[in-house]
Parts: sequence; C-alpha cells; structure tokens
Amino acid sequence: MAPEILINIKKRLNGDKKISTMLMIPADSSWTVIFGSSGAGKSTILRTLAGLDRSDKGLIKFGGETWEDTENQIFIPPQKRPVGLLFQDFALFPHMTVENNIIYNLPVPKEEKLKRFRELVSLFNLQGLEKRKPCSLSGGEKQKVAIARTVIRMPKLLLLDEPLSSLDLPTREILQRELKKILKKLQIPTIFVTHDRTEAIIMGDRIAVMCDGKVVQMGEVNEVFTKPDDPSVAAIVGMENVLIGDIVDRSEGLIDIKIGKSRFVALDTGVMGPEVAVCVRAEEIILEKGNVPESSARNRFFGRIIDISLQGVTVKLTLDCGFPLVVLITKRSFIDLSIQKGSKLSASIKAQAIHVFQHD
Amino acid sequence: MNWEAIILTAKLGIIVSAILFLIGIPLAYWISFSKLRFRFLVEAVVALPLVLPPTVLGYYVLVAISPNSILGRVYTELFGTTLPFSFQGLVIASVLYSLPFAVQPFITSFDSVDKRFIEASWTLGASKLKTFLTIILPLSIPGVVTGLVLSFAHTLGEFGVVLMVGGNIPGVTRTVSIDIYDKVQALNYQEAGQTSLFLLIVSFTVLSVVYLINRKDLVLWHQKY
Repeated sequence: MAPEILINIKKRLNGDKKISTMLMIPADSSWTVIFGSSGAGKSTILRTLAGLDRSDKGLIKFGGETWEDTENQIFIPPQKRPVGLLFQDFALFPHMTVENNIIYNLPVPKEEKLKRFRELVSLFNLQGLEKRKPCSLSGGEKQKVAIARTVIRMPKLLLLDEPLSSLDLPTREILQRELKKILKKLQIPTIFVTHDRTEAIIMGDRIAVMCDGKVVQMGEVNEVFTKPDDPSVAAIVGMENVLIGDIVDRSEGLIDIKIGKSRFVALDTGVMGPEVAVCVRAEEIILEKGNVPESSARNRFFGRIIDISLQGVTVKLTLDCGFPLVVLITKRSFIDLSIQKGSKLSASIKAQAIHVFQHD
Repeated sequence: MNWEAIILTAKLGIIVSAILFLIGIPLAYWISFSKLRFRFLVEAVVALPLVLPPTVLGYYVLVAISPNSILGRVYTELFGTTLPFSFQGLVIASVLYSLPFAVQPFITSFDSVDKRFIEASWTLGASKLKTFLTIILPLSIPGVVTGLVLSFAHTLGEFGVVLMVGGNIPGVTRTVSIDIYDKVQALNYQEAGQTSLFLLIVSFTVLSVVYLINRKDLVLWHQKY
C-alpha cells in the first residue's frame, strides 16, 4: 500500500475563524484538489504542510515521517521538508536570472546542477530565457520557471496554491492543461488548492471540499459533484451532474459525447478529448411528461424517477436514464406533473447548458 | 577653510557608517523579524537619540566610558589610553547618536521585502542566514544605502555630543561643526561662512543622492512584477 499523508490540525486564525481539519491522502502520484470558497482555510492547510505555519494542536505525517506533532513537540522546519510549494504569483526572486532562480540553493555538485537545469530547460521549452529576469517574462513563462525551480530538487510532495488565479482567463485555460501535463510526468503526489470549479474538475483525481475550516466531503471528483453529502457541499460545488464520457464526434461546432449508452450534444469549445467531464446544473434541465413534441433542445433522455427530496420551494429529483441525472424543479411543477417514484419522464437539456471539461 | 577639521570629520563619518553597517544590519534584522513581545522596547531604545538632547546622550556616554567605569577600565587595560576626549571615544558616541538614522531605514526595507520571497527561499531549503544574504539583503539595497548615507550625513553635522565627549582638540576631536562654532566665537565670520557653505553643499548633495536612489522609477529591479 502506498504511504499516506495524514493531516490532523487545529488552528485559530485571525478573528473567530478556526481550522479543524482531518485529511488522509494516499501518497501516490494522484492529484488531490482542496476546493472551497476563499477564506475557507485552504491555503493554511498547505502552509502548515510546508512548515510555514504551525498548527495550535495537530499531527502531520508523511509516510513514516512525522513533520509536526504538537503533543510531542516535534516540528520539522520548512527547509527540512521534502516539499515543493508553488506559490500564487509564483514568487520568483526578482533580482535573479531565470537560471539562478531555478538552481537556487540546489544541494548537489555543480555538474549535476547544470545537467538537471539543462534537462528542465528543454522539458519546459525555456531555451533563450536563461539569463532573463522574471519581470520580463510572460505569465506562462513565469509559471514554467516556478515549476522548474520547485521540481529540480525532486520533492516528494507538491503543493500548488492557486497557482493560476493571478492570470487572465484565456492564459489560465491554456496553462491548466500544460501544468497538469507536465506535472503528471513527474509522478509526485500533488495537492492543489483552488476556489475555481472548472479547475477542480480539470485538475483533480480526488477532491476535498472545505467549508469554514473543515473538510466537509472528500472523494472522487464526479462523485462529490454529483452526490454531495449535504446541502452545504452542494452549495459549494454548485454543479449537481458530473458525468464522465468520451468524445465520439465533432461537427458544425458541436461535439457528441458518449456516456454509457446515451449521447450528449454540447457546444464545441475546443476541449481536448477523448475523455471528458460533462457537467450540467440541475436547474437547467426541463422535465416533460407524456408524448413529447419536437423540440429545439439537442439532448433528450427518458428515464424513471428513483429519488425525490423536497427542498423548500424546490424539489430535487433523481432520474435514472441509464446514468443518474439530478433535476431541480419547482414544487408547483412537481404537483402539476404529479410526479412519483417510478414516474416515466423525459429530460431536455439545451446544448448550451452542457459544460464540457477535459478529464484524464 | 579648516581642512584638518574637514578631513577629520569625513574620517569620523566613514568609520561610524562602517560600524553602523556591521552592527545595524543584524540589529535591524532582529527587530524586523522578531516575534518577541518586547520588540517595541528595543525599537524605542534605538529611536531614543532622535529625541534626546545631545547633551544628555553625551553625558551618559561620558559616564559610561570614563576611566572609572567598567568599559573605561577594560579599554585602558587593553590599549593603555583613556576614551574620553579621544577620537575613539568620539566614534563610540557618534555610533550611538546616529544609530536610528541607519537602523530605521534598514528595518523599513527589510519589512518591505515580500514575505513570499522569504518563504519561497525557506521551502527551497535555504537556511535563514542564506535567505537573508541572498534574498532579503539584495532586495533591500536602496534602504541599506539610504541608512548608511543618512548616518554619514548626520555624523558630519553633530555638535552637542562631540562637544560633550570629544571636547575640542585640533586634529583629534575638532570636527567641522565645532570649528564653525569656534570661528564665530572669535568673530571670524568669513571663515565660518565658508565652512558652513561647504557643509551645506555636502549635506544637500548627500540627501539628493538618497532621494534619487529611493525614487520608484529608479529601483534596481521591480520587486512586484
């Protein structure tokens, strides 16, 4: 069995905020996303893991090593932890060249230093930038330099603190893919903090949802998004249907995605396949009963109601269409359509309401 | 103009700035990064020469370095001379008197180094000392230069402390400001005026340099990018 990363910390922050978190993550090459709104305590967890913050009471273990144990007064300083931390805004040293940033404080002989540096330069396509200062680099170049600086010392654990949040949207979308592609090659367990839903879906193998300093749910990405444990998680993730499928066709600006025996049609946003995550918000699905007339909606699925839960003025239904589909309708529609468990209904979704993200 | 006094004063300024660099940097580092509760007390002590009358400071320095004091006795044991009314005594007094002019700019510039650069250096395995020497200090160069130049300029112009601790011995402790005072007392206004103008020009030039290096568009590199 792969060794585990154990984080069990309590920490009081400024004001009334408190962090009380218990997390167990396998130390394999998988990606764990810590997801939550800003101020939920995500960054503090990373900082405690890196040793930049101490917890008031807690235990942090990495495999067999104890990094922090307040009970036995063990605290390994950040310098001694085999951790690579990628900061928001990258924190490249502004007075050093790209080369000096990357090889900064690398505890190996000079020849080995240069060998590793050259390898990373060609891996990240940084040729020609070696003598430049960080202020003259683009966002993407800075990101690569920061990653190179982090991975050149071969950390055993990678921590990414919203590394893309400072960039503009188009750059960000390109870099999300690049980042994951590069880092996947390195086979290092990675913890990624974000408040961006899209990023969580693209980046994560596993997701831990945080709310008010606590991990409220943890699991596979599509599981957490489709089956939130409670309304608070649902409110945070805000995307009730996440289905994994494959792109089978693309034409006329549309893509066809196969999920089980069904096919989804969505707008082609240039997403790379073949495996993709299809996300639909529950309130964007229309339910119809009886013989259904022709419709402009590109997606229509027939199924039976398998679950009903009342939530104030709305009703949350789960429809079994060969895959589970969560639908949110008003109570009045629910009564008018006289829906019961087992009712046969058709669900329509406009192509625009389907969000498709790369997933691999 | 009394070149002897001018050279003596310049020598004093350079030695004092050099000593302040050596003791001011560690002191400022300690104050800037200390999490101790009594940090404010140390800050207050460092700032004291800004508000204390030079005569008060001079009086205490004189008492502290007198041959009857521990410091004075140790010095006499080692070097066979006494500290009051000597150039060495003057250096000690001037270092204390100019301390805030060096240490405060140092602290300000250390404080303004982005915390993330320091933390990045730590997570890259660099010790606190290495982080200081390779990250904090290079990013604080404008502040360090400011502190040194200001303490140099301040030492050039001191009067009260010199008079208390150094006296008025030509070639040993007679600095420019004392020389000007002497000339005025002797009703030699012409020479007093010349030396005063010289000091004014030097001080103005030095301060211009300080403000020039602290201009935003002239920083050596952009810390925020």
